[in-house]
Amino acid sequence: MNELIPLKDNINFKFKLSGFNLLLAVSAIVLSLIYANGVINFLTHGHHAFGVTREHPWGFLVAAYEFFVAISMGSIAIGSAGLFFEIDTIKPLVKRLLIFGFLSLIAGFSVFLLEIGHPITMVIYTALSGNPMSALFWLGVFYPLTMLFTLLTFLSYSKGNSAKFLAMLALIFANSSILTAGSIFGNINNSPIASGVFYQIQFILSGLLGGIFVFTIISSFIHDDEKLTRGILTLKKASIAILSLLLIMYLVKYITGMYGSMPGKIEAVEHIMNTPKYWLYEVGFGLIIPILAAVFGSKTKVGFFNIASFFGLIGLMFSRINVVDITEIAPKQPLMTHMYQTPVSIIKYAPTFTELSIGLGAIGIFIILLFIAEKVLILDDNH
Amino acid sequence: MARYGMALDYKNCINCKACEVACKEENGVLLGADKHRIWVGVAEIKGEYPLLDLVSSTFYPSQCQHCDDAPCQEVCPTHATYYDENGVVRVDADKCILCSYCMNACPYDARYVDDRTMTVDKCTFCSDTRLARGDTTTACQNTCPTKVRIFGDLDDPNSEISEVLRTRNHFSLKSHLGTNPKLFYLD
Repeated sequence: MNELIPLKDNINFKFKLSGFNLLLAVSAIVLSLIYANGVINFLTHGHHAFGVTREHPWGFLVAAYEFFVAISMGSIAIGSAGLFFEIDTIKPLVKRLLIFGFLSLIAGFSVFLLEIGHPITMVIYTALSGNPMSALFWLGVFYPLTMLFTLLTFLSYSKGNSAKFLAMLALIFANSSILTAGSIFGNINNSPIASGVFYQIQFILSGLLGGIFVFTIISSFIHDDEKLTRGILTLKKASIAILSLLLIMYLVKYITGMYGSMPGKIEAVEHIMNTPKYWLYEVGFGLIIPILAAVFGSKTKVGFFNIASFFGLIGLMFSRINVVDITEIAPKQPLMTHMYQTPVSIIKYAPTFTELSIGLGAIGIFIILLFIAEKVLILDDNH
Repeated sequence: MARYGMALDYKNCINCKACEVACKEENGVLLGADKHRIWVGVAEIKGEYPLLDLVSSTFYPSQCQHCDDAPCQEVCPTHATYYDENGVVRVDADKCILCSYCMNACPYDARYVDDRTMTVDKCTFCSDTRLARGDTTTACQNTCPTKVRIFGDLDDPNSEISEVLRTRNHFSLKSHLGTNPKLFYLD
């Protein structure tokens, strides 16, 4: 068994009683209980427990799911790239990154399967009568392949070229998955603000950032390892390039969004830019604070980048909330000019407690899965 | 096989909502449900009181446009949304996973969740009720007191709808999206 799966010889679930560890443990338990409450509410009331409406059919659960997918694909892409391209500073992190990615995808599914009305039907009919024109169908293809090759890469980590080959496949399918997740929004051609190539690229870049943030937090707060620190410093440099690109993309997207006041687009842009969840959380927390910490922080230590990563993750979550919101807040009527229904104002949506319980509670599931993985699996090279 | 479409002489609409009632009765749509399958839109009266332009109050009956290139069909991951042999966009409830992607993709806001089956439903041109029984009219068309709706085979040059579309100016909604709707509004 230990030859197939790298299990530790002495498994115990004790942990160092530091303030951060205790905070993490309590948070994980509380969030898991909140998640259980959300699931019970869902099982009792079905989709009626959610705040989504006909006009705003996607809500917080889709955003939470996209958040987990982002950090999952980011972790897997960085980890598998580190192995495939033999990046020395990342190689000591590879096994952790692959496991982080795998487990956050499971956390994402713990949200997604409750968002989808009929998950079992989904599995059956995606296989039996899948529609290759649908981005959602391709997600159903790419996620399992990403999970498979991530797991195989992890299991064959020390097997030289075969591990590198599997890592290459994991990298390809992780990027395909996150690209397709972005396409779900980018392919909605009746939403002028969403339609196009922005979200596909933004999902890949912000996913990579998410992977960097999660890894930085966990590595710098839980492990005190020189090898991991060197890896974080490499990722910190990479994050400067990614954040710069994202900032440029945001600038261009929103300038073009305002330019010409295109009906259906300008309303969405004006609405989202007048909310704190855009400027403060998505841009401020998600982009500005991390890039400042990366550019002006210490070049030889992790420095404030671990704190900035917390803010970055909050920003990433809000970027996913905003993509769902901005796609749906403008009513479809403006494009119909005068000849349809009475003009409708911006569509309102607020998540219910059940949606928040499931979406945020899944973070607890993720932390518990990570803790178990750390205690059970051999994640260090020199073990 | 036919290629069914509908022409709407919308200026004749008096907003009596008989079409909505007939649709609910024929197709078992939930009572009290708003804008399920078909609905009548209202253009606001122009001007300010007391100088209101009463003639500007127009009603726009609408429903699923049964697009030849339906975005809802393209995004459906399980082919639950499909074209039947008559070109009607329909839903196979057994295959619907309630992902709501079609609701997001439809530019006409024509899809809704049926709370009984928890699947996404839509207008079917009465395909599984009246057409299945051999009728050649839809419930909404049959009941309309001012004959707003003309339903028929677009591929049949002798059908009433083909004749009307040949002889009268008409437009489609959001034609720039390339959806090729089969609902036509007559000027």
